Amino acid sequence: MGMIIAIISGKGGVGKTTATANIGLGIALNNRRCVVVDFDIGQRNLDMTLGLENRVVYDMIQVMDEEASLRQALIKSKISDNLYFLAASQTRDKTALDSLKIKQLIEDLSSEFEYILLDAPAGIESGYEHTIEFADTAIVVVNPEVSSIRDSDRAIGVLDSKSQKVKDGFDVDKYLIINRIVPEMVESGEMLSSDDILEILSIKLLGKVAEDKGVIDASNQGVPIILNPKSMAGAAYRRIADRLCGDNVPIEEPKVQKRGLVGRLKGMFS
Amino acid sequence: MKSNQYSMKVFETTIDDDNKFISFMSTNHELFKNHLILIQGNISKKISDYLNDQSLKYINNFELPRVKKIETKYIKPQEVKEIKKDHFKILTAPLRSGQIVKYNGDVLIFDRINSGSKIITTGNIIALNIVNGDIDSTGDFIIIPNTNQSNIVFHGIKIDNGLLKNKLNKIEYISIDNITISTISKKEFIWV
Ligand SMILES: Nc1ncnc2c1ncn2[C@@H]1O[C@H](COP(=O)(O)OP(=O)(O)O)[C@@H](O)[C@H]1O
Ligand SMILES: [Mg+2]
Repeated sequence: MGMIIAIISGKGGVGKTTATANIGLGIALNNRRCVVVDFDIGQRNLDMTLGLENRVVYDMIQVMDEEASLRQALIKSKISDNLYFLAASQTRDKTALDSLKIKQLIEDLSSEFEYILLDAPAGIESGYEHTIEFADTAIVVVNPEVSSIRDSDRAIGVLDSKSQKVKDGFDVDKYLIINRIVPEMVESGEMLSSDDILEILSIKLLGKVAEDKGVIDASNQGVPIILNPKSMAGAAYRRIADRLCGDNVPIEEPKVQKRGLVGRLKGMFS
Repeated sequence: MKSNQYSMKVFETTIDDDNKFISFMSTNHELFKNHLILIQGNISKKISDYLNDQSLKYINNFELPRVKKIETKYIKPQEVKEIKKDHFKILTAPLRSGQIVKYNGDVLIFDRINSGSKIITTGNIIALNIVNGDIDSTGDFIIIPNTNQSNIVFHGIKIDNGLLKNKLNKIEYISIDNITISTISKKEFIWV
């Protein structure tokens, strides 16, 4: 039985898709079989982030409606043989989702993969409840700003009342990723500190990811930032994936980057 | 002449079924031990023995002077059970944005009340952690830490957050035009 992890947030644009792609790849590079599923129907972009957009033939809804088999619809990553991808439907609307069919799909995936990552729509969207319904773990992505935190708090509240695991009397494990931290701004007090955020949301910390311009570029090129050995954000995702694989890696605080002379010169020209 | 005046609570009832009456009285002994019990209609020996045994004071077939009748809802045994169940709630998980707790009784909350959440209760509230969500109570009191963000409405009156300066404050209902705010603790509790 695989571990079913929903990647969630309160509002959109905080970095769920980026996190899903990078963590999925990180897990696969740790030699675990992993599948990432795009549940953000209508705004799919996980395929792009993974550089697989031109490989999509069948989508998740077609599998659920038995118009295609799971084997036909699963796309293997070019980067790792352990990573597979299942696309969201671009054409159907979110009401196409049906609990029983989702349950079946997730059970099928969970018999083949060790990790099943579900890239959720934002917590306010109707597809959100479907994504979390059968998850046993949730990774909450927030940005260090009040509105993101408050909306995530709400999404956690919905998770705690709507998931099947909770209805069965168990807890859904909840982990937090704080994304787009700007260390300079935390230092100067302009940005909420991680401790403040953790106190409000009262869930376990999984990782802290710095703001990194390279992330946007990496997504556009379909080469996740985790493959870039120089990126701080990439390193943070690697540590997060290692933690999910059971390694006891300490949390690292994003640091203010002190540039040397060469770095400063490079900075001028980049 | 030396005189005193008292007002007392009278519980008026008729008895159809001795056993039902006795079981009702037993479960509600705490509630009625200081009441005067007025039984209209006949009383069996079983009942009078029971009442004497329990030292409950009672009178039989008596026309009360004009008095204020208070809610009679709790006289039916089934409903009494419901009131009991709906009496006291303990919340140990944080209350999150969008969650509303509506409750007919007292609420004790150990964890955070986050911004965007709300507690509405007819009873008392004791909040021991950070309060940023809203509170609406018509109980006897609210015990609450200092808070800038919370919207607190007590018996329909908006409480000024500036008055809740201490680590733990008590907002208390004395009468409709007298609500007091007092200090319970000026500083953080230190547990040994
Ligand atoms: N750590 C980061 N640093 C810089 N940009 C980021 C970071 N994480 C995400 N982004 C960018 O933010 C935007 C939204 O991210 P995305 O993962 O699509 O969010 P979501 O799936 O939550 O809507 C994208 O353009 C992405 O490249
Ligand atoms: Mg997304």
